[in-house]
Amino acid sequence: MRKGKKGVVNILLAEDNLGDVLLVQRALAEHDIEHELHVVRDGDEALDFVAHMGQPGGAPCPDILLLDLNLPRVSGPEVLAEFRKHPACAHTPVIAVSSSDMQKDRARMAQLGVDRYFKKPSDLAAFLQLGAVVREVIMMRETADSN
Amino acid sequence: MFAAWFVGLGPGILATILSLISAIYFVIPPVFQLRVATREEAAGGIVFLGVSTFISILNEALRRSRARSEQRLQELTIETSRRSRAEQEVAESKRQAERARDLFQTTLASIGDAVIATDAEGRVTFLNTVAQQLTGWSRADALGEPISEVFVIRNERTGAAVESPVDKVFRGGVVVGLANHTILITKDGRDTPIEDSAAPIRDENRQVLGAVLVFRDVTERRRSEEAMARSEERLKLALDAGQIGVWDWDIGANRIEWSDRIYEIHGVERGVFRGDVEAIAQLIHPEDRERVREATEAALRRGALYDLDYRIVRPSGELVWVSSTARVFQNENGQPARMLGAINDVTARKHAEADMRQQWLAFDTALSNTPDFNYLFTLDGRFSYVNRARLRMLQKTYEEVVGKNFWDLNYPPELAERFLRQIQQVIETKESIRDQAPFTGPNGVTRQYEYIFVPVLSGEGQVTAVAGTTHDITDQKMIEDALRKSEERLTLALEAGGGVGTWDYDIPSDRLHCNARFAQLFSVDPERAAAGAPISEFTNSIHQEDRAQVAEKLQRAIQTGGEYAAEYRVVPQTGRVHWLSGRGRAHLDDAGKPTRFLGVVIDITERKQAEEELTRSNERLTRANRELEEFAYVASHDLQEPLRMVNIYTQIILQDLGGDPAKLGQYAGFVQQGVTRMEALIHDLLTFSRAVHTEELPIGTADLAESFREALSVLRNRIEDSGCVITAEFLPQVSGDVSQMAHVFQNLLSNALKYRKQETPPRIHIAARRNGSDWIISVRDNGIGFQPQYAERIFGLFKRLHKDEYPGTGLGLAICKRIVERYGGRIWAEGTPGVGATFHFSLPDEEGQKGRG
Repeated sequence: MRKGKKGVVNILLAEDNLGDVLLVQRALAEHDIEHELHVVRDGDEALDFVAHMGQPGGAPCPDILLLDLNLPRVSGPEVLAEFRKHPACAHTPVIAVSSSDMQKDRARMAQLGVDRYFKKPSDLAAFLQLGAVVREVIMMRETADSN
Repeated sequence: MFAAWFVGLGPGILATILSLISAIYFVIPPVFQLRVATREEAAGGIVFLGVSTFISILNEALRRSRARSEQRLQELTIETSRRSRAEQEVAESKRQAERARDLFQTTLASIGDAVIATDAEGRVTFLNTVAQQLTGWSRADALGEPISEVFVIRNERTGAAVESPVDKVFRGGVVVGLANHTILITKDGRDTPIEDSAAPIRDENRQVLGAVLVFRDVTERRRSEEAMARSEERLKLALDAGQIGVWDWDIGANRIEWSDRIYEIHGVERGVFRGDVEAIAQLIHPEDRERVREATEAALRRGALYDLDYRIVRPSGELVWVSSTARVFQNENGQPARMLGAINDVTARKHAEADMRQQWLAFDTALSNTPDFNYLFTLDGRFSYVNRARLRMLQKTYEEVVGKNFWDLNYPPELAERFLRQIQQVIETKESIRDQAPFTGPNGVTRQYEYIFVPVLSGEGQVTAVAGTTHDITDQKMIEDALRKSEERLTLALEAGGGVGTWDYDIPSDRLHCNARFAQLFSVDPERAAAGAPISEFTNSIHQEDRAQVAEKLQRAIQTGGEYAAEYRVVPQTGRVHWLSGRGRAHLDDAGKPTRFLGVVIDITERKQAEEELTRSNERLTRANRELEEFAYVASHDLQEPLRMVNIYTQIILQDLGGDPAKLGQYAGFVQQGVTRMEALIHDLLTFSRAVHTEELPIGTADLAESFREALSVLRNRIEDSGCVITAEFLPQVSGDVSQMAHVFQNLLSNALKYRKQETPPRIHIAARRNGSDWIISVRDNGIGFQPQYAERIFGLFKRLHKDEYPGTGLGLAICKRIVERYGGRIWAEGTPGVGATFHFSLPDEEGQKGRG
């Protein structure tokens, strides 16, 4: 995993709900993950970001994508599909986040490659566990990279 | 001549001629013998007798006259003085002779035969009246003429001249017998068939003094001979034709003569068969011999009628039935002398009689082994035959009933009178009568009977008897009554409940009969329908769309003789369409050809309506269920979000209490937002659910212009604030509800206002156009539009394309869809991103609700 600044994880968060954005930040902080967070608020914005990844003026490919499946305008799976098309992001770990069980999209998601599914709980403590999940994913990827 | 007569031969000749004549007469009387007697012989014999008598009488006369002369001579020689006395005596003799001659002449004149006397030269000396008539010569003219002139004869057949019998007499000196086939030509040329005979007149020296010729007209006799011959022939023919044999028994000589036919009947040959009484008796069947003998005895002794049938056994062994009749003739002593009879072979008749008896028995058996009464009446109303069933009923024997009439048999008087009257009517009209009457049996039970009297006609068409049959119809009547009652019940039942239509279709003649209800349903005149009309007149009333199906089902049922069931609509002239359920069955004849098709129809319009209601209900239910599912899913999903926010941030607030107030404020804000959102969702859900439960609202007519105005008034502020320009074309009346439609407009306008391009003043245009029986309303805006692939998604529950930026719960379009579909319409949308969006919805026109009736 390429880290930007030393030890800092580049995270792309696609989430429309501001309340949930703050919660994600809280969760990352809770688990001492040094990160740089980019937020896209809807599907179009997400696609736009993906399109400009790696280009001058664009952002680099993130180390992790946190993707809310219920984005307005463009659905989560579609965003993921575009994301995966990008050569640099073919193997980027993706954590799918949603308020529901996502049963419908599971198959498709699996096809596209999702490392983790995270259902947004109603309990604060449970939500903050997202941080642990992120850490796990980072660790696993680092292990994989070094092999 | 006269001189000769005077001498005393006169009486002799008279006697001779008299006897001759009477002898000839003796030949003539007809004898009913079957042996042809030769008249010539008899005549000849009798003439001979006569002539002999004549000769003897002549001799006697000669002797007497000689004696007298001698006596006179003696007296003269003795008494010459007695000359005057002798002269007196001579005068006396003269007178006697004259008297004799007068007697003779008178006699001659009055006898029926013709007599001509000639002298020795053949000249006519005497001609009696009959001779004058027959020859046509008068005495005066004939006297002295040669006989050949007066008595002109020819052969009848050849016409040749025939030698005069007088000549023959002179030549032969003997009596000449009668000649056959002679005709006498009269003086004036007529001819007469005659019989003639001639005899010489001799003196004591046997010298021929002349001839006497006797003849008669045999025309009559000829005729009767011919007639007899003819009748004989006829009799023979008759006997032959009738195959009757005749026999002739000479009892005295014990000899029987048979005709050929009798030999035939007995199967024996003439000549071979002995022919005496014993031999004949042998041929008679042993069992019948006694009877024949007795009958014969009775006829012979007592003159009883002999007429009986008996059997003959031929030598060949064959058995023959004969019928024999005979008559006994007695001789002058009153004793039976002859028996004449006729025999006929009646074997065939006997067999026929036996057959007829057998037939009678057969008929009687046939007529008797039925429970029906069969009987025959004479023309005056008496029983001439009664079968056993009737006898049993009357409890009488055959003999006790035959010959009796109704009164004799104690019929109730009114019945007796009626029957007699009807028998009379049958005889007069020569037509049958059918009627019903009650009889009371011997056990006292009264049952109903149907009877028929039929005239029995002879070959010439005359009524010879009246035949009758009586049939117990008590059970049948009960069944008929029960049937009639059940029919009445059925009719009543059919008529109840608006009536069931029944039909009876005669396939070969294409005639459909039906009851009034059926006719009514198919718009056919009831009277015409009752008489029978072609099926096409009925099928014309069937709804266009259903005709093919019904026709196919009819065909199949009729061809296979199977059951028929169909549901279809009929379109009457006036009034609503009716749904009918028809059920029927076709019947085939033995050859498999369809003959009859019967069935019933019932009006199931109400049921169909109910079915359609049910279907629609089901659809609605299904849709509602689906939506509820969706609803439940979406509700749980979408409500969870704000709830989660509320929950988590409340926790955070509690955790961070005492922390940064700004942050706390932000967190509180999130909580509030969550709550607000939930409120809005719940509100819209309620609205939506209210839309779901609009079943109770009736479907009426909505004036869309009014609905539009209502929506405009609700959104007035927002319209003004946005500077929106709204244009509308004509808005029609539709099936629906004004306030519900107002809701639809409100949602659509609200969306159009909401999803506007920020920099462009919003423009909304409403248009309406017809599509068949529907109206399509279009709401077009110039807002941000949407991508076409979301065109359906946007109508889903809670499906919002533009979250957060554009406030709203996402239920608006779902509610519109609900309302529009409720009223039988559809809603859809077209969108072009950046250009605008057009929302269309269709609704049935105000007539539409009637079609769904």
